[in-house]
Amino acid sequence: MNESVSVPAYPAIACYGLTKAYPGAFALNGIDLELPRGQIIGLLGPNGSGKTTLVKILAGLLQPTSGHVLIDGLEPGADTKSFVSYLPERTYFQPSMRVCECVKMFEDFYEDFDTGRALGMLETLGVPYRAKIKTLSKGTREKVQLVLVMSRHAKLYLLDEPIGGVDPASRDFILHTIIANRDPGSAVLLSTHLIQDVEDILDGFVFLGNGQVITAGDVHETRARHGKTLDELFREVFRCF
Amino acid sequence: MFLKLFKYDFRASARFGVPILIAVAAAALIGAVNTGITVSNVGKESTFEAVTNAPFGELLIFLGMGGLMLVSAALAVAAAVMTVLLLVQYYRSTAADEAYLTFTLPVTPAQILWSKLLNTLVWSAFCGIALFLAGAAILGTGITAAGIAEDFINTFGKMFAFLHSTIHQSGLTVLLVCILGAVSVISSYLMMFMAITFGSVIARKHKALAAVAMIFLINFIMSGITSVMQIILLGDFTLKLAFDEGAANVNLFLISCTILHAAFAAVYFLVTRYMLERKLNLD
Repeated sequence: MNESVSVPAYPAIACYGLTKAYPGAFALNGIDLELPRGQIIGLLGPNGSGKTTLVKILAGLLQPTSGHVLIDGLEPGADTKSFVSYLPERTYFQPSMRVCECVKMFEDFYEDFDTGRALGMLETLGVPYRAKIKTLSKGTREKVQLVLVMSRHAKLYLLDEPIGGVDPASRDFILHTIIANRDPGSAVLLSTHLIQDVEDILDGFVFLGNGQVITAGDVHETRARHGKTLDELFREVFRCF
Repeated sequence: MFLKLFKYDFRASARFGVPILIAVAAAALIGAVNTGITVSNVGKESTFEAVTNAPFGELLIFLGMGGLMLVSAALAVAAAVMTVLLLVQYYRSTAADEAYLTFTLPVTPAQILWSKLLNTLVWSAFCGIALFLAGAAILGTGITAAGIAEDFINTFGKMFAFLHSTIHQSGLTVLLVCILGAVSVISSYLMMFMAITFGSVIARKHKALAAVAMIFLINFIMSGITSVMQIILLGDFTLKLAFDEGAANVNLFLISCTILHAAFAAVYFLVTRYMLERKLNLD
């Protein structure tokens, strides 16, 4: 009896010659990258290195000037949005919406949304289910958004600066939420410049500077090879940037 | 997915649409009471002198007319506020922070645009109907208070009969006028959507300001172009109307105008969709 085992044919993310140009400047300049499934990958770079631009292109919010980007073998569009879970830097819910309406909205639009998981996390956080978004503190709003994004059984999670501007306790909550809720087999691309806080949860990393990939690889291998933490390596590499 | 999008757009609009409709109903009630009191006290006098000589006649007229003007102004403001808020909602969900959610939902930009358009049309229709009913309530109260309801019903009956015969005789023309009106409204909203999107795409800062500026600028330009084209069409048809069979040419003129507005609407839609798909400018 032949048993066929389905092996995913495509990497989670593939970029070939990806360029995004604005008048007088390149936000991304010829990025070539293939990121595997099943890993948490840090997209690391100083401010203005092109991290957010790359994440927005992957999320389908921006179009590249040239080059190609494939997510699970597909160009970003309505199809990829059904399996890509994106957390932007901004809080995007209408302030007049209630938390329960936000949950219902995700349930309505995303087939991979796990309502039970979301409700469990909201309860743990003590977020009032019927509270309006505008009555919540900025930190709680961001947590609600993170909870909803991580409650999807997505193939790819794009998290843009999820720990930027939050207190250390909240950082722990956010990182724990990411690790505990991502599906095995799914890829997580986590953009940040706070290397020290995320280093321990990363499997892979990409150093981005001036819109180009400076270096990329496996976190553990790189640490062993250089005898340095990723944070130390980051400081060394980006000293001149 | 389209119906889900529309459901959320409709609910978002209901947050300001329902209070506006309630305000219209309240204004209609105040207007009707005001008109009823004024007309029942002074409306039955046959001359202006008799009105002013009646007890508190001048005061009643002043309050009655002033009240009616205020209510009319309030109704006009309600219509304007509804339109502005619908456009603000479009801006927020396609160019401000909410756009991060709008454009990461598993839907196409065309579906987003259709949903916004349908939602805007539905709420505009609600507002139009509410204003019509408010006007009818105020007028009806005045007529009843003046004791001329029977006369009015007779007159209205004649008007209706005339309208009915007109529709019967020129049904196609009336239908074409209605279609032209609907297409013009759709075209106008799509033009404003395009202007908002264009403003927010080209602006590096102050996107909202740029969007508002573009509404005025593009509206000004397109009004000029539309007027010139309609004058060309109308000029040609006016000559034909004078010498040829009227109705057929009126219909042809209406069809031409409808095609013109539909063509503009299609261009607005395609340009807006292109910008939403390829040129999003989210901070």
